[in-house]
Amino acid sequence: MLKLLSAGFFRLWKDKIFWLGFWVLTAFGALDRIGAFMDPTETHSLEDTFWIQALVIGFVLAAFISLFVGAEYENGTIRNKIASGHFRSDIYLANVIVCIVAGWLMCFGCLISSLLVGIPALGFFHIALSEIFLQGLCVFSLSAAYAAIFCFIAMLNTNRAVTAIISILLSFLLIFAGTAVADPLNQPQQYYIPDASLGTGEIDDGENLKMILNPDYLEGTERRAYEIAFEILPGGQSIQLSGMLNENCSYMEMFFASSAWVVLSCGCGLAFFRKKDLR
Amino acid sequence: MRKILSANSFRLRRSKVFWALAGAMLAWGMIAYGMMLYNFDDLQQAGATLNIYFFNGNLYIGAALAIFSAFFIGQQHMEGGLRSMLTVGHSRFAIYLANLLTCWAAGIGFLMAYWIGGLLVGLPGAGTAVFTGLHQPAQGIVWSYMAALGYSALFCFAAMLDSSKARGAVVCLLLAAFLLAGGFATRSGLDQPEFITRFVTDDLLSFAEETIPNPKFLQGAQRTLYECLDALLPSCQALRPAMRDLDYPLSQPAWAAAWVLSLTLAGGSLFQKKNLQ
Repeated sequence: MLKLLSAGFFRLWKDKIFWLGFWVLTAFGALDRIGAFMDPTETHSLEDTFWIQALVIGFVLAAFISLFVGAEYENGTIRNKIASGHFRSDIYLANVIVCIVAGWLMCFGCLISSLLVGIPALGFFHIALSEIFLQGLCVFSLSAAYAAIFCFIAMLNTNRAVTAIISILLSFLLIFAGTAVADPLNQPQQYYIPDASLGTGEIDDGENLKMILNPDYLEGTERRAYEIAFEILPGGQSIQLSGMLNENCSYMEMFFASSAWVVLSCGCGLAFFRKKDLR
Repeated sequence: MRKILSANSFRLRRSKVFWALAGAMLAWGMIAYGMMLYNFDDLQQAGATLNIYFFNGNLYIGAALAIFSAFFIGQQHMEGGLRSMLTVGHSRFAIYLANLLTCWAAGIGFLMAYWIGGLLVGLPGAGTAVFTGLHQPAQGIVWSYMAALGYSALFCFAAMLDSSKARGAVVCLLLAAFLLAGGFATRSGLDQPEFITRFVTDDLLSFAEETIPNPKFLQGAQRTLYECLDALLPSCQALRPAMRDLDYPLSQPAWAAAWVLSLTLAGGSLFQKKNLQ
């Protein structure tokens, strides 16, 4: 497997799509910091959307992995590797490892650009570094989960174009699913009813303050189920970790969910790939 | 060019990708109008138009055309169809133009499939209210076709100049997503009100209402830029019919024509020099 990894990393280093994704994410991180600095409506801190790459890493990895792994099918490389004596499981795992590392490198590029541009523009973090570290751990594990999922699709589909379409559409679907789960969780518990007897500019002193319960507010088991789905879905994690909605994040739950996605994708992928007809 | 169009229409009718995408649009039309029927009473009470449902397919036409264009044109690259057409004497620009028109025809087909699916569910459930509840439907349909042409011009440009079907698919799909996001951002920016109302409070229970200028309201050069994007981008043209209160400026078709013309001329001239071996 070391030889497969060595060959994979050599290909990765010379792959134009990888470097395009790397620089796109790097530029994205820098531009997001600059946008936050130039926002006239509110003051931003460095930690506000520090891990913005969590939102887009799915799309970038979908595009990259479908082309990178798909090229091996097109060029007959996978068959050659099997013919030269490598096990199918080694070939599969080597590709997964290379793709995970590629995702990590892209995330790292965005991290560096965010720091280099963000610290001079927005100052240093105002929250504990341990929290930033935990978020980073979750982002990198999320990236690994995306890589494992898209590798699963790419390794089981010989048609590179179909793989690309499925992967990119899936990446969007995961974000939409995350948004669909986030919306009910965002509902406020109560609504404030203003005093209708007051005119414009008159001060409401709270004597006629009315609060009504929001019927769409989730409670109890239903709320917990949505919260678990929000933590488990890669799209939900993307939304939380990118800073768009990160109240009550459970980092350990997200980390274990991402690890479970990696294990599940690799397990199923290996099982199917062993039986796949590669002619 | 008529022979190329004839051949393309034959390929289009036999294309599994075309029929799969048309089927998906048909299904989505049925689902969208199913949701409309579920909310029908509330919509009637609020006096809302049904534009968001009738033109909901416009949100997905970009993605559908991206997938179709990449596959349809990419197949020609892969199988040597383009080289065969050149060998029998067709000009490169005629081939390019024929593919553009075929993609546009496919886009119109996807829109029709969505509307057919919607009407199949909407007409039995809501009757003629499906039509009477629309705001300026004729203009909306024209703008939808315009958007399909704009998307076709862009994806034809990308797919004709890239011999790799997979890479073309990735580029086209990401362009479609980027354009849609840009369309929403442009619309959102232009829709910001000039003034906003906010509540100020000294303590938790006393509020005073005041009206202040909206800091997000676009002005000057920035507003002009957003208006140009709104006129130019096919995604903005696609979103406009789905919005309730928007009118249809007569200048926009000119901008759309400029977009299509410039992409077609640029793409055609680059395709003239492309090595097809």
